[in-house]
Amino acid sequence: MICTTARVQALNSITGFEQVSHIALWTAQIILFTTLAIFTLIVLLRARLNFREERAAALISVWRPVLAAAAFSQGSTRSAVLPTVKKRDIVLFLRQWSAVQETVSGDASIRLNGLARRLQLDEVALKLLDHRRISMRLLATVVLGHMRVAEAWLPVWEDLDSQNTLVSLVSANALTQICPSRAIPELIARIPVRHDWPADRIASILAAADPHNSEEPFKSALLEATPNPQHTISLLKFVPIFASPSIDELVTKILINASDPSLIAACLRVLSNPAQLPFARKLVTHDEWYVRVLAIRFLGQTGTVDDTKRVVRALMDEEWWVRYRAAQALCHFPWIDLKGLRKIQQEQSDDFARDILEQAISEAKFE
Amino acid sequence: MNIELFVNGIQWVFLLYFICLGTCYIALNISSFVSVQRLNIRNEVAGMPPIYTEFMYPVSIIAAAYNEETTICDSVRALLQLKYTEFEIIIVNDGSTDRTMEVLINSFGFERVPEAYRHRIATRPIRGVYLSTEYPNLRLVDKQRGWKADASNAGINVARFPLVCVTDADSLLQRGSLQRLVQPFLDDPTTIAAGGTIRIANGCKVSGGFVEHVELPRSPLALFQVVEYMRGFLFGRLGWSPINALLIISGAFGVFHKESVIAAGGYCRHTVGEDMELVARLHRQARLEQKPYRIVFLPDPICWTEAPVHFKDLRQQRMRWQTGLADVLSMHKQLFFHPNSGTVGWIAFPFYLIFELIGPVIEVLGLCIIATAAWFGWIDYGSLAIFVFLSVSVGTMLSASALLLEESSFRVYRRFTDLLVLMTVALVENLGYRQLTSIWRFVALIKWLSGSESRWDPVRRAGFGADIKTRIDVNKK
Repeated sequence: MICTTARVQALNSITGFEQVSHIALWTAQIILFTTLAIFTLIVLLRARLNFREERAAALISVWRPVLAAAAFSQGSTRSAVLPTVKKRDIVLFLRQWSAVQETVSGDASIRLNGLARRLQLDEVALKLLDHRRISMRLLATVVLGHMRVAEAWLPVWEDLDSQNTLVSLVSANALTQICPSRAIPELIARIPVRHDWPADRIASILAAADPHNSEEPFKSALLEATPNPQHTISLLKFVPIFASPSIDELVTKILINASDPSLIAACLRVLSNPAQLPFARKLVTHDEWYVRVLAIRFLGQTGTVDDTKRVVRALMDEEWWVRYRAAQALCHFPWIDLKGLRKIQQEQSDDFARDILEQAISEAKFE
Repeated sequence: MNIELFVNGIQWVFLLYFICLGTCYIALNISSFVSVQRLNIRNEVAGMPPIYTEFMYPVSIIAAAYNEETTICDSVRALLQLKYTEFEIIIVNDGSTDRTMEVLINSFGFERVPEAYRHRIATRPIRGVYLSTEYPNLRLVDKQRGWKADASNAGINVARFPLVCVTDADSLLQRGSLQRLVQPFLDDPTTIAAGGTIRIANGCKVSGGFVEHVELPRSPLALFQVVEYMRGFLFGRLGWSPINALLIISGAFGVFHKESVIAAGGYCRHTVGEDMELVARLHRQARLEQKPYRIVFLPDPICWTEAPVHFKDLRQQRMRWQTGLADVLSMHKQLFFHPNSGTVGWIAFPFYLIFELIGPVIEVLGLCIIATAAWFGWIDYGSLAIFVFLSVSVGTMLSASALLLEESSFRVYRRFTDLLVLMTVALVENLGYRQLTSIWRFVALIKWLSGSESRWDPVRRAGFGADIKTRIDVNKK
């Protein structure tokens, strides 16, 4: 069917097609212009990236040998004339310097700080702390932390309680570098309430800290947290970092008085001292399977000949994991050889007990 | 007059649909941009306290394999080289009919062990569990054929660790990707699932099971999929994550809290969209029980996969996805506007229903009706052109915004020419390719409504740097 233009126009005016078409055309045009703007932006971003990468490459080619010399040679750069850092390259340089700092420690770190002071990076970083962009403020915090700039304590301290997890963590790290004796107790005190702090990051800060600065505050925090099982649990996971007999004693006390199964399990997870065996033994028949499995695991690690019967009984536990850990424990007891294991297996009236021991014996051969 | 009124109405529906679609995608884009900016800041800062590796959760990696004799060894070797503190690899041989088992046993020195297998999730019978004499963290489960969901469930049953990473035996994980995907579980203990980005490996240089050099594919079909995947992952998924309404974690790369998956009943064996179904079920369980939980998407842990380069294979894949989506929305219809379903039931589900499930119907029917109307002279060709122009503009803008996200964050494709190619593809894909996939999805929906069963057929894949060969994926029924 061939339509005439006149007919179509008449139809359009009658039914409002024109109106729809106009809106559609305008919408399509707006979208098209937006798309063109996005494409232009993409090209500009790529051009800016290429420009930045070229600048970074130029900066690195000049500064990498200087930074390496500063970090690894004994004082040879102290009197050397340093290349200048252009104002527009200062952020790039700070990033480069921080990246090198992250890879070194000890004297090399101190020498890099010396170089940074010669370049007055501390002053630059202090100014950057007021920058409107969060990434700049974070970079400044990182630099000030590495350089241990005491004047930065207060402004960085204010960020410790920031609701932004990243900001608070970077601040915590910097503060522990600037003044560990002041920062560590503050950090530990916040662990029970900062649920957003990833345990692995906090653990690395605590592990890097001098035990003299961290042990006592940790013990105090643990004592203070005792009335609140959840707070105690949040601290208990860091116990292995300290490997301290006095903290182990405290854990034992918490375990003795604990009634909450989650708290008991948290204590059992960090037991390491054979002196704690009597308390673990009492828990191999606990109502909660996750407590029993941890108790059996501890017996498997530190148990004595006297524990053999307890562990053998656990082979008949209703929970697979308890049976499995018990079977593994028996396989690892040095006083039970393969013959002994087979004898235990034959003595079991329970099929599950025999099967799990069979599996553990087979797996033990591969270890 | 009635026909004209009908056509006029259709035009309005079509126009409003595109405006709503654009608005929703712009909102998703904004959400994605905020997430990407946060991620950029996090990646830029070198001063984060380092990860204390002893606190990382150990992970069980589960890779299901069906008739993978030619690639399985490379895949397993690549998994063994992953950069992570403590992990075990569980290969599940899902009743392969080729030499997959033999190749595995010979290559990794597997020996059968008497595993006290726990049927925590029901699966097809297990024929045996094997331990590698060479790699203590490598196990093999041999079972009767039960397809991908069943194989993954068997892997979950034997997994020893609290987190399980489910992947395909023919996908390539980036070395550090597992660590990145586990981080959300450390950052927030209520996290129960995390998904990473899938990228197209066609054209990339692969060595030792890892993508060593990223390049764009030469096949136009694969190129279209590169942009499509960017769109799908960079804002299609990243945009949902901040409001905890992510509905899909790809079956090729996801990490899950094992006990949450077991409590939900594991992967469903009765749908071809088992990956999406599991996520929807995890949402449903937590939302209806009002438990705090997070399901997150991270754009930077990357898993590389091979895209189909034949129309037939692509059609099968797209139809399967659409059928899976229909299954999931239908199986979990209880979530729609449920008082406790939150953003999932009030935003994500209606969005997926209107724009992803019914979208192809509106698009195909709308274009057909307007084209027919133009043919019969009820509207002029100018109006038809305007609507085609609108359709192409919306599609191009969405792809362009995905490219912008990519450019402001990851820049996987480093060459300037790659960028130009991708921009061209973003435009060209709207001139036929998108309409074609819409037609396939439309057909899949009709088939689903008529109750015909979806099938997983063999997909021809070129292999990573290998000659063309037929590989029957474990997913294919």
